[in-house]
Amino acid sequence: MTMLEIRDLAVSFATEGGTVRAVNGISYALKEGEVLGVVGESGSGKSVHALAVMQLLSPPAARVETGEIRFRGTDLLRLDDRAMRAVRGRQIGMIFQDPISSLNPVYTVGFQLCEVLRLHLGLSRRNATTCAAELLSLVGIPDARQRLASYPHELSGGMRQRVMIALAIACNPSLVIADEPTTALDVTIQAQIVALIKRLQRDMNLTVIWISHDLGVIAGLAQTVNVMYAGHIVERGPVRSIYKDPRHPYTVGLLGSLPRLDETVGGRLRSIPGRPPDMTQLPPGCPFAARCPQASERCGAGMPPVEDVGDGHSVRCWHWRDVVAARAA
Amino acid sequence: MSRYIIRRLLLLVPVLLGVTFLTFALIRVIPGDIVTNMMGVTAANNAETRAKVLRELGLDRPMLEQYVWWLGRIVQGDFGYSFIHGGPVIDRIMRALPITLEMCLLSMVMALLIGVPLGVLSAVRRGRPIDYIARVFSLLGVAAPSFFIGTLIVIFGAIHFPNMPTLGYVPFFQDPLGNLARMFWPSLTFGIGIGAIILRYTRSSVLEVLGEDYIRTARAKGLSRFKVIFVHALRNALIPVITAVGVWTAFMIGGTVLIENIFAIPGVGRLVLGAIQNRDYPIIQATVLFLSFGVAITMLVADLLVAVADPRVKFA
Ligand SMILES: Nc1ncnc2c1ncn2[C@@H]1O[C@H](COP(=O)(O)OP(=O)(O)OP(=O)(O)O)[C@@H](O)[C@H]1O
Ligand code: SF4
Ligand SMILES: [Mg+2]
Repeated sequence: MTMLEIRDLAVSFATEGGTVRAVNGISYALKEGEVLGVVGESGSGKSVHALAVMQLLSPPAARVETGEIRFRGTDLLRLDDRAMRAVRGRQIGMIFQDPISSLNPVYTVGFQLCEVLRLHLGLSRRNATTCAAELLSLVGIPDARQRLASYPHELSGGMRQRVMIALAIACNPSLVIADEPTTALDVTIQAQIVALIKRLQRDMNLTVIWISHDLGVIAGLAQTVNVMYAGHIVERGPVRSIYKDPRHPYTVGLLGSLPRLDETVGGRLRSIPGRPPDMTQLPPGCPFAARCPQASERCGAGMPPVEDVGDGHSVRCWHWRDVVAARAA
Repeated sequence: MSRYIIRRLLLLVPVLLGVTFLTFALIRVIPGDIVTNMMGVTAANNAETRAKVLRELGLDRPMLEQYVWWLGRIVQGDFGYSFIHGGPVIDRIMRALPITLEMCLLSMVMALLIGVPLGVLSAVRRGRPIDYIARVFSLLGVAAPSFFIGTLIVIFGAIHFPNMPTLGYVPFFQDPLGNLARMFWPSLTFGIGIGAIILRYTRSSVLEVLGEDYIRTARAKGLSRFKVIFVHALRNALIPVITAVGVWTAFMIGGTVLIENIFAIPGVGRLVLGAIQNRDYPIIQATVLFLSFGVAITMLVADLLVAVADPRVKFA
């Protein structure tokens, strides 16, 4: 069953420097129980597209220009505020990058957890407290009962991220969006958090969108990968196929000589020479043209279409065949 | 917490010593003659009378000695006698202080009632008409001196509320309504001036907090806008505002001199102004002591409130 289907989503921000075209017409679908990895350089629109799903972008600066975001068949963009609030935190949970700043410093962990439980599940104060303690144990926080009375600043970064995870899964959502949930953490803690989310995903049959710079983690977690560049999904496919057989020059650049699929840590994105384009003045053609070793005249003239290369793998590049050929040589 | 309070109060001792000593020295340095004020010019010009009066008041001795002697009496709870009126200083202060306290309290309530809701509204309706109105109001309120606002209010009150007394004072227990009616205008004067400042603090603080990650988390939980603002944003936003309110209350205590004179209220401000004009040293000294103590207590209360609102603050 399709959990989430995004069609032609475009998001822009009105800023003093001009209109930032953060997301430029992306489409993809996500099956129930699927884990999708989203990779791409900083500023490629990964977070913005996730926030658009949650409708947490603040108008009037942020604007969804076009598109549909169908969640279990309903277009979230057409829901009114009240209906959308019933989706947030209940059907879709979100985990953010920085656990230090993502919890409210003046309320206890217990308060922040019970708040969401009482709101969506209508639990009594007492039941919510019990449930909150169970959630904390579930995410691996020792002495859960006592910890309910702790304030965020009394916990370590890793513990706080566990609390954030507990918040996101509290109401048994079907979709969880994790936006770089380990980036702000120590390496040892990162592996624990990844393992935790992996376990929860399996046990609760969660559908997960996992945004990350860490290709190693994505390799170990995701079934499908979206590669984003300048607000486009430039390549998308099963994780194996993307890693072993990348068709887009940008993906090839990101992966570098990397990835062995059994590799679990340390696979950061390679940096590619040059910088992403100015998002207020995107070129008419392929946005990667200025940095692309394969670029030709045609690339500057028009944006390549999405081409299916088989096995659920698709790419947006005029010259993807050359990329394949170059690797074969 | 009680240990913290005790330590803060102990720290107050050197501060009060400094303030009182400065006052002591300053009022003896500024031009003006106490003997003239007490006895008139002719008597003051008579050297013998003059020396006698100065000796009786203890003013013939070196200043440091006078100060130590004064301190010694204060410690025993003896604030001395007014040079001019002869009565005990403490009586006069005890009559004036409650009036000033009432006015400060009402003013602060007024300032908070004006500043906090308008500040929040202006922040959450940023860029909308209400935001501009609030900002213009705060600009005028901050820029206009309180004697100007005060005078406008006296005139406005007299014209539009002819049945409501604007000037003077009646004790609360004698005529509660009359008391509040008279206190309303001076408190409003203060309330506008300080409310305008609180509005600015609140607005910028709320705007800052609304951009925080935990606000996004609160929204991601599906909370209503109302809860996001009033449960998650406001408490955080008010933490810096509390400190500012403390500082401005302290400032207000100083400003009572002006307002009490505009509205003819017999509070501490008027008392000390009259005493300065008359060079009535014991009254000035004792009043300054009380006012500085009041300022210090206000700041302490503000710090305690911050600690209550913000669990990250430890009493160190
Ligand atoms: N509130 C905003 N106002 C204006 N521009 C914004 C805003 N939020 C994001 N952008 C812009 O949108 C583009 C996409 O940003 P986004 O946060 O989605 O990147 P990202 O892929 O998540 O990057 P990172 O890996 O750094 O998190 C960037 O150019 C960014 O500058
Ligand atoms: S379309 Fe052209 S410029 Fe863009 S990635 Fe492909 S080859 Fe490079
Ligand atoms: Mg991001």
